[in-house]
Amino acid sequence: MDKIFNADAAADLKVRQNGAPAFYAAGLSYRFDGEKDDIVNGMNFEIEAGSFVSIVGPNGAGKSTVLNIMLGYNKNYGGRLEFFGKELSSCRPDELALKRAYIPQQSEEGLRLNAYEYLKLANASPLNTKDRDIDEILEKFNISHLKNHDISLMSGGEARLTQLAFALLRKPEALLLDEPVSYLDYKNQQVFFNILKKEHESRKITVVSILHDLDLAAYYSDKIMLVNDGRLLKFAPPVEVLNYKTLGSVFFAGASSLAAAQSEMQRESGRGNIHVICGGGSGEKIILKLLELNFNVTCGVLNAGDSDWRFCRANGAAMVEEEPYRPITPENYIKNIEYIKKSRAVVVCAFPLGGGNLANLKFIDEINETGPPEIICAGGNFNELDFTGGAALEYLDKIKKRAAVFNSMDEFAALIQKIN
Amino acid sequence: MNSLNFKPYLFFATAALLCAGGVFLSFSLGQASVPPGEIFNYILFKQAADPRYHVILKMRLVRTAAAFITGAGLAFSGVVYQSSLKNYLADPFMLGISAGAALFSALAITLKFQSSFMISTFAFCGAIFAVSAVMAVSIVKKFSSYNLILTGIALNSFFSSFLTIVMYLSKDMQNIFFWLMGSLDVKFAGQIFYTYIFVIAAAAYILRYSYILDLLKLNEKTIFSIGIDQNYYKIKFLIIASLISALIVSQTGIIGFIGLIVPHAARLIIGDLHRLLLPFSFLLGGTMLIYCDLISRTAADSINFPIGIITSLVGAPFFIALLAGRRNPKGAGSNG
Repeated sequence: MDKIFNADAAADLKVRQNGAPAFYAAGLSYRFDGEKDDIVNGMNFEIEAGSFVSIVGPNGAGKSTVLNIMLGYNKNYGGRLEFFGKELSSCRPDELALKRAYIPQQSEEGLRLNAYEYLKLANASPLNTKDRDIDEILEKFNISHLKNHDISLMSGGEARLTQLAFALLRKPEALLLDEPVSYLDYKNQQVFFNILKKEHESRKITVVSILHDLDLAAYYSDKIMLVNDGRLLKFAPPVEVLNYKTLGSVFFAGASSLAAAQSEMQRESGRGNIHVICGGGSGEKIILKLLELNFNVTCGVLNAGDSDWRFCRANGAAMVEEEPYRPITPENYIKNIEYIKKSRAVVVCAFPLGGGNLANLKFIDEINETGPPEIICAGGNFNELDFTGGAALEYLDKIKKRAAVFNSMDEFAALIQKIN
Repeated sequence: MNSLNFKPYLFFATAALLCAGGVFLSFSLGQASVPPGEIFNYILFKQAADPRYHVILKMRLVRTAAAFITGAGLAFSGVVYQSSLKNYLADPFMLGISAGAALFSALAITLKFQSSFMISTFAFCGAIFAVSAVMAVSIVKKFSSYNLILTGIALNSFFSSFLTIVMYLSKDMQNIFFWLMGSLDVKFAGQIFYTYIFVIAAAAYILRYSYILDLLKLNEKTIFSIGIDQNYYKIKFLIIASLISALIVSQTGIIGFIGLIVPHAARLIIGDLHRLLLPFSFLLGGTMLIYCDLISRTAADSINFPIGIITSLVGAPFFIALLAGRRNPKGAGSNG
């Protein structure tokens, strides 16, 4: 190496970083050469060392630009950005290279090296990466069999894992990822993120990742940065960011999707069945309350991966499940009606309604004009949650005519007590 | 680990055998053929029974040596050009070397410089001048492979027009034309000796950094994240490769095709790992030119075909056969 890294500078950085956040930004802004408008506009944030942060937002929001600034690749930013306590613009590229790794949006296409040859390059010269480390990480990721495979011939999931191995062989303190799983199927997304999360925890690496999948972001992140129009709208734990008020204003698209493994478990116990129609986290508090009151809770139809789906699974509530990102199938619709007919009451939560899950409201046409089941429906205005162009509101009007309406958890509790 | 790892050595051994065979044939065949025993005597003991053989073999040694280093150097710098410019269509002449050398040597011939040393010197200066101009323009603007290639193409055609003018006005058109077709008739053995020293030293230097050439194929931001200043290395590699090919072109004229096709053939055979690819291209390029030279000398009685014609004539079908017979991994051959 012509440019050997200076060990003093490394030690210097180590001293300064004690207790400093991984990234600290104040009034961070960025503008591309020759452009009139800032693509990043006055962002302030502090990313704790060792935390897992996702950057979400629509296309063109400035997510990649922010990540590239944090990478050191987009230079000449405005404002301040400290990396472990040192102004990023004053760090040399080789100095940064010792502390952070990066995984680009694309896999390394057209690279005609095998995994071993590729991983040998992780620390520039092949002399810097030990064979033992490579074997170890391949073993840990369960991809030892790929050691002699050409990168260009690997499947998307395999190539991504190899890239992750490449990044981790650099022993970084921070890892930046640009939409690492966008081209992967559901299963490989999970495999990738489970491994990433495990490494994040065991190595105490700070992870900053751009993600398009909000469910993944919610599930794996400590905090989420919601970015739109170059501004940081919200930087908080997932529950505070991923709600419809916050997201709806940014994405404005049907949030529902998902779908389906089958769960046959249905318990006959407690004070009888209550069926909850929810989605996207709207049902959590209600399900919790019902479980507290010793009701047997069923849910449906929920897409697999949805946050209510995860909540139900965690709490052992029976569900009608649909495959992720799929509209409700007739089979599941019928199953859901069966659950409803067996229930003492149906609770309709305030959740976003799109073409995919509209069928959840159609139960109103399938049951008797008077209970059981009783209907309990969230009050308030559903206009903001309607992404069906009014169809959902018509069903909701029908439901509300027959339902008892609640506007707070207290009212809900009172209503549910009356069921007895 | 597995049998795959032996493969490269097998390829190297095969190429080395081919090369040795080529050298042997090259000594043996020509307008006067020499018995094999004499060749071994000459190689091992520097002596020959018949004094005529001594002269013939000495001439053929110089010529074979020139053929090898020319092919090896062009193929080697072809790999460096392709990988540094991230473009599989690049060859050592892409950044103006051939056009610059051609124009300046045409000037030298027109100005009646008789000695081949003067013509070589002119050609070398022309090549360096052209490639410096291309680099300077693209560095002053924003340095990128894309800019370099476009500037190279523009300057190539600019110099070519000048060359046409010079040839049109010159009375030595035929001499210029012969120079342009390339020739391995080397007048001084010492010249070849120094070329070997320089080319091998330069090649060894690049080989030491072969992993950087591997890295250049990665995503641009990945390279950045590793702390490699890719432009620094690209410029350095291109300068060294340009010096190699300028030196060769100045002595042999323009021998096309070998710097494009041998690197490709080598990639198809041995893969993209530069630690193997660079020396393999070197060996393969040298070997191929020895055989091409052999054909050019022996194909017809008393005529030496210009070597540049033979390289294309032999190389193209060989290359197409190689392409057809080989599974093409996805991404190979793309610009990336």
